[in-house]
Amino acid sequence: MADFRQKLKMMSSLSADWNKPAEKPVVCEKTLDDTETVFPYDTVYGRYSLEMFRDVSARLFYGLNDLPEEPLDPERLLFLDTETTGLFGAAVQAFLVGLGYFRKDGFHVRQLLMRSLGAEEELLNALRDLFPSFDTVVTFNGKSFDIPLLETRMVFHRIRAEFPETHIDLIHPARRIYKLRLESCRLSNLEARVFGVERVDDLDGSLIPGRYFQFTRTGDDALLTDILDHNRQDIVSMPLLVCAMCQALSGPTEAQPDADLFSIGRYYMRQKNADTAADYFSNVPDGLWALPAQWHRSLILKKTDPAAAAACWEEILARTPDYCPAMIELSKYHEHTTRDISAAYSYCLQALDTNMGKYKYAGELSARKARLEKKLFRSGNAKEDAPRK
Amino acid sequence: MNLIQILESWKNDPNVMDYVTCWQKIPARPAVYASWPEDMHPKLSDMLQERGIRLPYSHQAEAFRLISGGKDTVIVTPTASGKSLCYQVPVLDAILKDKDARALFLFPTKALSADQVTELYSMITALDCDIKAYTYDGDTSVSARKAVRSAGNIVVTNPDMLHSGILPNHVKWVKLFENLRYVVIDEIHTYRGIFGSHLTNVIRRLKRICQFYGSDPVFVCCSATIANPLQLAETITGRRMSVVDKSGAPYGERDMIFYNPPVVNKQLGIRKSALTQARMFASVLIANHVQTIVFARSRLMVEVLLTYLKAIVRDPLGGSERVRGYRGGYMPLERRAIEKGLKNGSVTGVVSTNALELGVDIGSLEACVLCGYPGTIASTWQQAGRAGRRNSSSVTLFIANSSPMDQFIVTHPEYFFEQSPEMALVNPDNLYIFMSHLKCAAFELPFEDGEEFGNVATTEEALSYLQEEGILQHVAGRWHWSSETFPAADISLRSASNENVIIVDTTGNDNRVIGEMDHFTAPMLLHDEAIYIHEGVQYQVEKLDLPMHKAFIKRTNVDYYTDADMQVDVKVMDVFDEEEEGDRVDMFGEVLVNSLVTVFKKIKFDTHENIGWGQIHLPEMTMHTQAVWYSWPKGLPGMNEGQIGRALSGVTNLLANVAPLFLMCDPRDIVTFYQVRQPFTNAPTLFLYDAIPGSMGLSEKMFHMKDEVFRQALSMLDTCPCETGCPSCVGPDSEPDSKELTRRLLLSILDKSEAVE
Ligand SMILES: [Zn+2]
Repeated sequence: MADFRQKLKMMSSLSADWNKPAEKPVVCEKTLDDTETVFPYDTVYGRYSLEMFRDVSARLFYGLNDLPEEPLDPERLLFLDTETTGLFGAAVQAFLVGLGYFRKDGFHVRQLLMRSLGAEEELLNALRDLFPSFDTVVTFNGKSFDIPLLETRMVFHRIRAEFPETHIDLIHPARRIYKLRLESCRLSNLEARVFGVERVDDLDGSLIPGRYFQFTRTGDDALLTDILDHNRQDIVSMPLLVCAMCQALSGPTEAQPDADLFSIGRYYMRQKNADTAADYFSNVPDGLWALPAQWHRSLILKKTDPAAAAACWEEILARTPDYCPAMIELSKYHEHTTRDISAAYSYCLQALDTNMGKYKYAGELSARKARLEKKLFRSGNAKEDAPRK
Repeated sequence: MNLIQILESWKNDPNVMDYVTCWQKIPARPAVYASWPEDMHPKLSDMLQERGIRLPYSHQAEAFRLISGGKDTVIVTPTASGKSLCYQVPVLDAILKDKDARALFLFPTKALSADQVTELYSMITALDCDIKAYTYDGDTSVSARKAVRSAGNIVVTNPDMLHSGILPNHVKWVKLFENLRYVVIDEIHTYRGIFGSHLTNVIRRLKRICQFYGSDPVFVCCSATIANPLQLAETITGRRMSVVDKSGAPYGERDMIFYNPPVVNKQLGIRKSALTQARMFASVLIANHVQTIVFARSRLMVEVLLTYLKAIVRDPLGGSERVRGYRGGYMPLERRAIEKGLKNGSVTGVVSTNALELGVDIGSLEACVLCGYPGTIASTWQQAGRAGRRNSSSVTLFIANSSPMDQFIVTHPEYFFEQSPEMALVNPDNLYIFMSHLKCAAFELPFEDGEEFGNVATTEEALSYLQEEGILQHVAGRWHWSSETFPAADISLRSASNENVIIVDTTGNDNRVIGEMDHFTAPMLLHDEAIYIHEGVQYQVEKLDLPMHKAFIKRTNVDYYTDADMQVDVKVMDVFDEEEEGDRVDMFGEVLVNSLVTVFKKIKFDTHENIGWGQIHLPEMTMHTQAVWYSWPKGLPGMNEGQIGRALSGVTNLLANVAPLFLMCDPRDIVTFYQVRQPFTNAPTLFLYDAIPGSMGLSEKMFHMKDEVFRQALSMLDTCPCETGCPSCVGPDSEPDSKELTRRLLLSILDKSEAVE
């Protein structure tokens, strides 16, 4: 009679999915590894160094996540990044939590690693004990991934933890600032294109769970080296990215790429900081982003200095003669501000003649045309001298 | 004429009565009312009163009492008896009294879930309170999911979504699981076989998670009439349950008529087609404004009947909306239109595939015409239940086609009326299914040492096996998931093994996945050129790509179906039980089935004529399952080898047709097969095995049934109108002596066992 195990074996032999090499499990005695590396302040990484973090403005730093300014004590910031056993589902654990914080002697990177799958509770308890020493946690994509994961794992183990009150997720400002220029805003790509340093032999993130599981089965520490390096680099890059972004946000310079200048203009517009936004837009040099920058600047000026805005629009038309939205704005400007109805009517007719005017803005423009014609007629401007072109 | 006059005219018409094999009258029954319990929330009784429900039927009040009292309950009631109210009222009552209370409703299909939520909405609106009821299925938008997870008092979903969407992500559903008070499983009779075995394991997982979050929900199951609703519900929920099975709903008098169309070719045993006869009866009913529903077995037949009946009612302006078609997949809006038409009398006839069987209520009609036997006693009663009003009489007319099963039923009405309806079998411990869900459960929560999954004693052994496979790791008393995979994604609740063939419809511009099938069955049913029927629609298979696990099909419209010839070899691995019955030895055990399909036949609907064939080039398949086998170690006296072959072949064919009647299974769930000289028994042997990897327990049930099946096989053979054997009785390749040899073998089986008694 076939016993249960033989049946399972036979079942697996009938199904290709099950043919996985069996490895002898290695039971590991020590459950949690807690290692610390200190990076001195003079550590340089491409264009940036850790030292520069001392000069980061509190206003710009909290502004990264649209938060009001509060006192910035670098020693109360906790940089955090996790490596996990998968992407979704109840079985996903954060087996490695990398933490970074500034101290007198430099930037400390502490790595908490589960040496076995049973060490999660210990790791989470260690985090719980550590959190109260910090006010703010800084992550890269932590709002949608790392922090909710840690929170649910705490629920899972019924651990009550007070996470730092404030959370700055760097991925959102990084996207706002660099997305137009870079095809990907992954941390390693930001390092390459913003810091000017390429990662060497970086581990592909999708390989991490497999490597880790292999480690838990074999106990082979060599399998972890790349994962620990990868995670350490992610942690160190975060304060440097803060430096890079805050520097870029502290005022337009000629050295900045035009796409960045334009993006930062938009960044400030989103934060309703019109003056700074206009400052960035007016510094965008000729090229791909000049027209959109000029256009955005004109919309800011429209509210405070209509004449300057009108000058902007005329300048736009001088360079891009068929830019319909500028004609519409000028038509509105002359109708309502200078009250030169003929000029308004003329811009309206021009706008109707463009491609955008024929389709996208057709309804709006024909209403405008009708209204202007009425005004022209009423003001005694005879039909024959109305369209002057 | 009204219905009573029509029935009277049939009774006096020999052209009808000569072919009626049974005319049974089922008397009317009045309503039995009870009262709602005192402590029911007053808002609820007001709301029910406003909806015209002054007093509950006795079964509704009984269900309320049990469910509110925290008893796990199974409710067994006929169609249209107000079954949903049995659980809706106590669940709403509980939420009105505790706004944090949650309930999970499971329905087998999305359409039923949608119906349920519509009904709940209207009750909640009438209650004017802040109760949230949502459906959660593949159609729920990502943005809506968050609200469902955090705020839904009642979450209405299906087992597939519970399995792959909710349980593996339980950490996102903390609110639901912490406060889960009720789990309602409606239409539980549909969870038989593989689907039911999977559901049982999904419920095992659900209970584990509830326990983790500290909740202990009450289970409520609803079933149509089957032989074993309590047993089924207790197996699926793993709980002892109370039963409510005395319906207090009233019904009118009902006539049940069985009609067997006249024989037109005695030699071949061919009868007039059921379709023609159904058309004839339905036209009389509809022309006389008797509201009628006609059930046909395929979409094709629905179309044919619909065209014909529409022509009958066409008015001078060409309008024919008095007769409507109803197919699976109709949207609720269209269903409501038909329902409304039936209520206000603008619709007289509905033609449907058996899509309507599943609880969707379109109102009650006066007459029901079944064109062909629906397959089981239970579903026959369910379809018949569509006709039947509370206060007036109704009729159900069953018209047999020439298939062996139909012929058996129409000639054995006593079997239909006396036999209790079929059993719904599940086998949650089927090794394949069990292991699949053990993986999912381990993914959801690590198993603790000593913990058993579904009280299966071999849990620990199975877990340590999964460790060897690299899927789990045993660390400090717990089994941790240690793989990057998401196990629920690979497991379909509709098939036993995890390597399914995906069925892709290439008819339109974009390829659409319409289903899947396990890879043991695929070569039989999805080989190149096979006609595959899905929800009543005919498709032809263009290509079966086994290495890619895909079958590409295209819509077609032909008058035949295909039947593949499978060469089978059975290797006995283990004998669980063995009994001698005279010269015959019956054994039950575990087997490996090697199967190879080489050719297929094209067979005409209705007449079952063989009209062509084709070759199939596919590799051999191996399946591990259970079987029952009957062998004659002393041989069969008075028969030479060729005759033994023909006799066994005849019995094999009869068995394949008669066994599903007793096992309550789809004929495709079992395979019968014979060998004149079988290597293991070294004798002429007849096999019946479960066509599902790991088995559904059908062959075991067969082993215990003994001679009863053979007795019915003999009676099926004798009632076949053919002279020397035809495709309906002894199978397609008969010789002039086939019927006689088959009869001799069956007689010897029955004589011997009777002699022993
Ligand atoms: Zn026959």
